[in-house]
Amino acid sequence: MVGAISFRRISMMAAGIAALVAWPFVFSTPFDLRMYGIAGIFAIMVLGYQFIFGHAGALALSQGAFFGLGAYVTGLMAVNWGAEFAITFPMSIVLAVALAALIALPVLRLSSHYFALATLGIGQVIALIAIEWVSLTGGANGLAGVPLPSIFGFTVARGWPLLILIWGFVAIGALLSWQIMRGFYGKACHVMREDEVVARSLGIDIDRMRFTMLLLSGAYGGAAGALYAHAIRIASPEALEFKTMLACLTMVVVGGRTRIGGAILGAILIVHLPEWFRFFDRAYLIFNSAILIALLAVAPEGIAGVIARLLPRPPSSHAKVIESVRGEEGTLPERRGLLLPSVTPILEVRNIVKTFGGVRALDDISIKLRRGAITAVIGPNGSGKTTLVNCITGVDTPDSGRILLADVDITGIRAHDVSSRGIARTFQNLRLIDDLSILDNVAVARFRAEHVTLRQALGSSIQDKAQARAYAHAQHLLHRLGVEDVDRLCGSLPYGVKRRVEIARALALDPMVILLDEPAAGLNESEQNDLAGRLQDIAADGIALLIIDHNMPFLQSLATYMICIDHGRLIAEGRPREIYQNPAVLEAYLGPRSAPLAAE
Amino acid sequence: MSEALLNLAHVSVSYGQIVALDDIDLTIGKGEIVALVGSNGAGKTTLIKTIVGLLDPNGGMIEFEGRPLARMPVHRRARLGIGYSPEGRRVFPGLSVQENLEVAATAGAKDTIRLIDEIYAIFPGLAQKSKSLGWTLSGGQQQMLAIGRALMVQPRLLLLDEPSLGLSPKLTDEVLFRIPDIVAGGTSALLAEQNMLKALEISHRAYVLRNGRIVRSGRSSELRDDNDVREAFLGGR
Amino acid sequence: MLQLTINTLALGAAYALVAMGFVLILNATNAVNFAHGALVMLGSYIAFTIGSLLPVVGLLLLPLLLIAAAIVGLLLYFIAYLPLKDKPVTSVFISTISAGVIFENAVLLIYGPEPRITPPVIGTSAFKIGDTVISEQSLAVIAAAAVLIVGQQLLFTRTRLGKQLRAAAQDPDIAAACGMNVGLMVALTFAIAAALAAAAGMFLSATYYASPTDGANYTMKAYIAVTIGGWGSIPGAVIGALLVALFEVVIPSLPALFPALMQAVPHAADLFTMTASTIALFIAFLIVLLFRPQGLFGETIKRRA
Repeated sequence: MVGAISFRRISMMAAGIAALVAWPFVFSTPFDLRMYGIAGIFAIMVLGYQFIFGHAGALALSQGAFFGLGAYVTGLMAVNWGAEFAITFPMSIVLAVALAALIALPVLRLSSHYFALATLGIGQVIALIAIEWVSLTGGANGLAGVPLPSIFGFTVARGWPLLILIWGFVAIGALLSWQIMRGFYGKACHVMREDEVVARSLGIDIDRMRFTMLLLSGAYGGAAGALYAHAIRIASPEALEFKTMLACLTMVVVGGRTRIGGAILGAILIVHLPEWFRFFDRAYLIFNSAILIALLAVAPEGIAGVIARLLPRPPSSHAKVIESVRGEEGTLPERRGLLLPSVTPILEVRNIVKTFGGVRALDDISIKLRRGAITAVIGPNGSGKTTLVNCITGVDTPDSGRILLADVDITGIRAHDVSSRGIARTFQNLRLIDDLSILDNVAVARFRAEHVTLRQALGSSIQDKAQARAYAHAQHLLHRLGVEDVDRLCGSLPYGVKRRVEIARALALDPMVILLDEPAAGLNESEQNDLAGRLQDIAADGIALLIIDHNMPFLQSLATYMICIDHGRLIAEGRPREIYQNPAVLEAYLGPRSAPLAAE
Repeated sequence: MSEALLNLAHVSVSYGQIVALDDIDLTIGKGEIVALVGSNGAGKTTLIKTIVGLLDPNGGMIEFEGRPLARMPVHRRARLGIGYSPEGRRVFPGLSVQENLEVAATAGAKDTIRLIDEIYAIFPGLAQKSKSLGWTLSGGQQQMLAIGRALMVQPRLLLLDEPSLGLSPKLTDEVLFRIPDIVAGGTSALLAEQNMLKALEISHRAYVLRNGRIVRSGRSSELRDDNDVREAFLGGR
Repeated sequence: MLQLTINTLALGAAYALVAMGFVLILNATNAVNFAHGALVMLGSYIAFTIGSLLPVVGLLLLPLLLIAAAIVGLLLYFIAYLPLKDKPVTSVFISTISAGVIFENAVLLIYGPEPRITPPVIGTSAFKIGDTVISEQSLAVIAAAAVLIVGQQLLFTRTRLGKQLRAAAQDPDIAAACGMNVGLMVALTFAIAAALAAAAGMFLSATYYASPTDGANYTMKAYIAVTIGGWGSIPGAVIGALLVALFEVVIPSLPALFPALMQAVPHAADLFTMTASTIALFIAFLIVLLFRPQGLFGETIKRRA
């Protein structure tokens, strides 16, 4: 990462680049150069595909359509109007992006297989149109006679000049991809792809991010297509056919879904293998597909992923990074100071009803949360506690009733907006991103606060100030919660530490309210006491806490107010001591005909 | 104890880092109704799923009728005589009541019809709805169907996971108090229940689970009146 | 009109077999079988091969074809589904795409690229009723497909095995806990789906010829039929298939039916070609996807909380 590349990795990268540069000197027949050029073109297409398929994790089958469109736009403009490269190339990109935007708006909301096949269907339609519209596109034979690229009067000749042009664009594409994904924006993307629910709870607008990723993949696809038309001197429907999409998919699975080196490696391999294994002839494709299936089962992260796994992890330099923004605004969480409990509730739930298939999961529930107060919600399994949390956080929308945050109606607002307005949550089953470090997991929560967007990602310097500030903020919170050694990956942490990391992440959102779903589950007694102390600390800062749990001793000393829910209804509320005695509560938990327990 | 129908020794189950069950020792004899009580998250469902085979233990041993169950696939355990009524009922939604029962049968056609008739005799409410699809049934009807379906494998051990979940108190009574009759013919039952007092009323013995460990066990009649148990249940100490 | 109806029914019947198989695999595995069209294509080629060895009518070849196709279905289960069933669903998607490519190229290797024709179900004669020409093949296909569809329905609603197949598709874990061998059930589902697809292949290739690259086309049509008719619903798949056939048969016939159209609409001839009808079909499919993604008949299984 930022300045954190080890010697091993640098030397690997240098070796790789040296090999790429040396290749056309070693394989230098005109035919070899042509193949290498095609490999470069496909590398651009695959780099683009990695945005939507690898980084965003959405199986789109549209890359061939963008590629083909780029080829046809260049072909048409160059052949029919004699337009120059400086015009045809950008136009290919612009129109491919336009197509991406057009299909993204309706299609991105669909879940995985609908999305995949919708994008495929669109690709097929475009391919059919290309074949049918003979007057425009030359029909099934395509548009022949596409000239070599002509830049301000100079024709880029076949062989070395064209090769340099193509691989120049590969370098630009690779750099751009690296710049966009290496920082904060890339981390947020990572979270989105691993766990949508967590991403939304951290204020990340998933739809917008996927949209951007699809547009980026369109841009690269269009660029690659434009170059392809120049390279093979024809714009043909073959570029639009499913074959091309399949090749792209193969390259990204073989090479690696998210690594730049993987895209280039995959493209070179898949373009050249048919030649190297020419004796296999037809059977080559069979061989190819069989390998693909095997790879999916055994090494789904591709060759680049396997190599990366073998390399040691780079040592972190986050200390230096944080040092570089010391004292700047936004690096430390605000201390609100001790707030007197106020009469006006910070979060109010009014008469919400939520029905699932005929059963009332929430039946006219009303709750008030006040600043600095710790409210516990208890109730047997299936009583509606999780539904309540989902309604407050925007994951579900209540059928009726209102939810107000600081007197503003937030009912029905989407989850990521609810998070950014100041409601954070932790999850019962601890949803941290296992292959990110502790620091990264917490810092991502500063996404909205640091106004991270694509533009910001493009413009961020090597230092990436926004990420540095987020790291500083995160480290402070983690330190406060007693978590050190923040470069460890989250997958291998003990349970108690994970729990505290999750709370730090919630705090990093700068929330007014935190909802904690069974925070004490799985903790031993001393860990529970430790957690209770820290939660009281947090409440003392003026944050309202809502805790769902059934661990009575944990809640008894911690909660200032307790609510009991059963069958979606509020059956008791008051001080914990009173609730413990309440016959209705005991009946809900133990069954009727039970005497109240002796007073503490 | 050598004639135990089901024997668990030092069984542990983890979800990744989280220890869900820790060193569980449990036996069930022939014809016994054993209750498994504890609050949410105590590990009752985990324990039952491990016996069924839907979860793998990472330590310890499970034996059914003297036969070790390790690595035996789920469907073979069912055919050995372990019936399962899952948490949340999980009847097959697109199949009718009759079909739900049929698919669980391992016997021939005639015997299957006889078995189904027996189940209708136990649950007359189901007989009326024999052609209704699973998803249209009410919670109580689904629970009866789930138990009936578990009985179709002619089990010697019946596993019931939270049959009272989501049911009104009246329905809970109907379902739970039927169980002793159902197993009267010598079948054993392991009943996991949040509703502790009712579970203790209908069972012979019970184990109390807390945080994945067994903290108390003994005769249900004794545990029922024990104040300490009630407190342990609610999470005290 | 009668002509169009018969043609639509015949084409739709064959497509229905394809769509049904597609839905069966979908329900059993939650995965889209991208090799399904290749199974149709393989059916054509197996039928062609058996037909060149045994010169009898298609109807008599059908049982052999179904058995051979069932074996291919099992093969597909073993290479594309079983190794990846615990991985995310997209992996199976990609693996079935690869399996389709393998089938396509294997056939290309063995048979070469020229189109082949399969034996007709009963015969190739035709008879006239008024202006309408009704081919024996069309009637035979409608009848044979109807028999297979009814047979499939009977299997799934009247036999214990069929009911178990449905149960395993609805809740595999609980099905196992009721004593059903779910892995076997899924394998059987693949076998049945492949058999249905193969029958469709034989019916279609008697008229339309078979070529190794047909696979992707049939897969798309199955997918469109299932999406329009109702994702996961068998009757929906049949209705969807008939609709697909309707598009393919009726649109290219519109100029002949309404000669006035030819004058009124410029370039009318271009708008009503076979390819144009496919484009229209895709557009309709995309519209359904956007506004009613659950299809005409929706998901017939609902859940009660």
